[in-house]
Amino acid sequence: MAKIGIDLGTSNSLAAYWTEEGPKLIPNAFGQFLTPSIISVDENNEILVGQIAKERIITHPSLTVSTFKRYMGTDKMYQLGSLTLSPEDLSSFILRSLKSDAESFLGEEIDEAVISVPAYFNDAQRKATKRAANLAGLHVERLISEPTAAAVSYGLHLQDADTKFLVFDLGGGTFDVSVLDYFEGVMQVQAIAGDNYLGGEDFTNVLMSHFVEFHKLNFNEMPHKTQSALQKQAELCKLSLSQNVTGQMELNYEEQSYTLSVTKEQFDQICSSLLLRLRNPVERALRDASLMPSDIDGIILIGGATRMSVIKTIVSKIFGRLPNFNINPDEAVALGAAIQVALKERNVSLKEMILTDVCPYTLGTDVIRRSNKGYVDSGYFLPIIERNTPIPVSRVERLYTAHDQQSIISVEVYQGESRLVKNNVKIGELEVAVPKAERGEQSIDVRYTYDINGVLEVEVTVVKTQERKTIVIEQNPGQSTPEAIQARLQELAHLKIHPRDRSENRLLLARCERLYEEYIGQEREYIAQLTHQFENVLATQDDTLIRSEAAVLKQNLDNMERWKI
Amino acid sequence: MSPWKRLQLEPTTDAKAIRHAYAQQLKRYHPEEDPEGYQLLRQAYEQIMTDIKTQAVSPPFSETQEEEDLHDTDILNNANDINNQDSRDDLDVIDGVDDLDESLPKLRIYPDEPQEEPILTPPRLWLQGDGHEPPQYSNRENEDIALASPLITASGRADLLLSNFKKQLVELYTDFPSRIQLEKWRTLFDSDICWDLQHRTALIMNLIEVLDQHRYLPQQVWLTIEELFEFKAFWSEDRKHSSYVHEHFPDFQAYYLSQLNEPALSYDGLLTLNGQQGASFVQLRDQGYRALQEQSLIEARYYLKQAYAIYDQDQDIIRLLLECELQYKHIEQALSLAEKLIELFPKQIDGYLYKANLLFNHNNYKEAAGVYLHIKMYWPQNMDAKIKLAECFIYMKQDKLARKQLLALQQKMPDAPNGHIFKINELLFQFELIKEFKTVQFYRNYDRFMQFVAIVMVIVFLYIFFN
Repeated sequence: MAKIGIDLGTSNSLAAYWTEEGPKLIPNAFGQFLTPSIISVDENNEILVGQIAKERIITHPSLTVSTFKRYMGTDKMYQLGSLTLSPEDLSSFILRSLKSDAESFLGEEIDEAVISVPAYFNDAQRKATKRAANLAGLHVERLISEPTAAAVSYGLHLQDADTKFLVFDLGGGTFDVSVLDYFEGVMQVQAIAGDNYLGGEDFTNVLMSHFVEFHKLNFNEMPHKTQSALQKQAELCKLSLSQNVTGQMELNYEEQSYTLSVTKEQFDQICSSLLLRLRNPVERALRDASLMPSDIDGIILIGGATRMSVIKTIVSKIFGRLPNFNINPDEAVALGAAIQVALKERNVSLKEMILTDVCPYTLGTDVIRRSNKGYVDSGYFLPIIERNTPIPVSRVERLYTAHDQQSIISVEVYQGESRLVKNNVKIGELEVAVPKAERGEQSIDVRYTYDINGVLEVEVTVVKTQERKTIVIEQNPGQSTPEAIQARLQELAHLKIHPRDRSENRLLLARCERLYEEYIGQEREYIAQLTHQFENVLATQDDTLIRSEAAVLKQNLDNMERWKI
Repeated sequence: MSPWKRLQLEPTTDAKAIRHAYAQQLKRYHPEEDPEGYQLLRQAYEQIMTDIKTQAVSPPFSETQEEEDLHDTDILNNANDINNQDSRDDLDVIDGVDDLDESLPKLRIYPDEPQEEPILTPPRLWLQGDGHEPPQYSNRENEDIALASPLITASGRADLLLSNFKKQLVELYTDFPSRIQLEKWRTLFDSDICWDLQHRTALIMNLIEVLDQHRYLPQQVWLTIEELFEFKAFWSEDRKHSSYVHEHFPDFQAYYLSQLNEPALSYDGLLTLNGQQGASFVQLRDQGYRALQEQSLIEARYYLKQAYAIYDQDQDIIRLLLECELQYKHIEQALSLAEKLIELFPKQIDGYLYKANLLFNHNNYKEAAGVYLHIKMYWPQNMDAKIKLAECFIYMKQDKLARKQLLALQQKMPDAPNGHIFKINELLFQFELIKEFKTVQFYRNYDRFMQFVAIVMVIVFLYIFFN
């Protein structure tokens, strides 16, 4: 039984494990470390994961989903053909695929994993991630924040350092800033801030909107396939803008060919509002950590979206200096998760590092306030555990009755930063009976305990009677029970996941299909011919022949695509 | 247990030793294995670190304290202190009032600042670099970014950028056509110094100082400032600077918040004005608006008239003046302003409503009905106008029309607000009373007629009978 670390990303996911020489990434069936976080369903209701699914975005857009991590912990459901799947179900397919890659690579069964989540994920999103792991047959004892994981893999190489650094994590769909302090084997998170709805995909979206606006097209009227094709063009254009001074977009739509070239300056302009949203979390994290930019020794960029040169420019502007470049933004998180696995096991080949984390949101309850003139205003938020408090933590507050003859006090549990509870998120509630008395004479002690996994427990004690009540806050109560997970597993059991040993050929065919749709004329016929030939070879079931023909086909396709770009 | 004892350390100011002791104890009170022990250890550590930092930066009663107060780090530490002090004491919030402000230690900020300022000083600058160890830009691989010229030190460069920014702010404001274009502000707010978090506080303080003297701006600009600089959060989190702002720019915070939250005057169409006119126009209009809100009618009329004299094509100035004339009960003037609104903005309902209501209130029902009919045609969703129209009909004794109008309205009632329903029912009830009355009259007449017929028939009958 082995354990692995997993980076379950919005755009790509990775797995890694601990070796005597340090953390190592695990390749998937295609020999790649990055598995796209994309799921597709074929006509036999077979689930396709990763690269194959990615190829099908253009050819089968309505049967393919991506960026579902953005909806973890919500009620959103995806309709894929005849299947209705939640973001958790979809994530569980990714996890299952990573698990089987690791099992075939390491030659042993995997039953436990450390999974990374954005630092700014709330309680519901963390729980959803755990459920997804359970559905994939993985036991997850620990979730680790993505920036913390990256920091751990960065810290591994520092010798007896005493350093403060900031991790700027812009992934496909989420943005996190963490300020850390590393000294004498202690990796201390000082502050976290972020935006759960800001990531690389948003930059792709503004390019798409820009294209549509420029050519005065109506995006919503386009067929699904055209939309996917445009998205891919925007994605390519974004990538090209990370390297070059201009990027190109091309779209064939209703017998017409549209092109648009975007310069770096134009790109800066059209994504300026997104760039601004990067600044405030940095400012807040520094403020919460009581540090100035000049106190920070290093700035680490992680998340694929930080490859965009515009991001590097903005970070330089904010800090007045360049970020550190010696860390791979795609891989650091998975490597850190693998280190966490080893740390948890107290692996001897690893020098000890103690991680301490903070809670990302303020947790509190609602109270009323009485003004000097005797007016009563209700709905005020009383923070009990402030955001960026080190965890695990336990805090208690004494609250008093608000009315004469009050017999019940109801304690509502909220998470958020607003002064008024109506702007915060309610995550639970409990009631206790108190002896009737004059206003303010009876009181209760409310204790909030936040454990190292980010699970909150609320305990209320009536001071007079010493009666006690406790709840463990759980979003969507009932969904996390072993029975509920077993039930969902049964429902998903009839779904076949495409076997990984045949993935290679499947991927080639999916790619042929996409290229067929992308090209026209002679090239298109050529692809049709290649596809036909390969299907004939597959029919022979001669493994040696199939393997050699697959290599040839792959070479041909590679040549075509290279030529095109 | 004292924090020192918990760290198993003799009191010291050596941060390195403290961190070492903490790291050692952390192995004993591991966060995974002993959450409570860890919480206590961490609290002890944080407390000691805060204490030695405050002592180191501003030793009590030292000569250098005033100078040191300019330190940004110091400001942050003090902010920390405030948080700690107020932290757990106001917990009986259930019946307590948030009296945070009273409990604040009175901090002296920028002590070398003159307490009383002449109103129009030349722009002053919040310097970053004074007595400050230069930020560590040098010795890094990126000097090309930080330093424009090797002759200027890093903090000197920031001061230069700040004073430049301030100059640009004033220039942009002074050029009226530019002032009212959001894009120009956005561009200025995108300059490098606005991104630089190291000099954030200085930047915000400079910005507030300029805005305090230059406040006639479109609402969009204010909203953008809040979006980019988050003054509201700044004031609530940095109490030291907030109270400085409060003291030196007493009405700025209130003005700022009103610009963000209240319906604002429009700056559309003002681009046709030349700079001088535009600047005085928006100032007078704003002063008039404020006076009107405070019910200072004489003052309001004085400002508004002047603004109107400069430019009489602006929708807001016409409306403000009209409201003012209404308060004065200058019906003729108000009516002509309403006419002007209609003439200039025929596609907006306001002018028509003003005109119709004015006519209605002065018993000119016929003309009012004409205007209400127009409103009904172009803004069919306006209930007020329709009800008023029915009332006009009633007063004009056009019973049929009134009844038809009211019944039509009654059918639409499900989605009408309560006040409207009440009014319609009230009118219908009145109307039914009138109708009832007429019917009774009719029947009474009918009876007399029948009596008459009967008498005639009797006479005829008698006549035939006797013949």
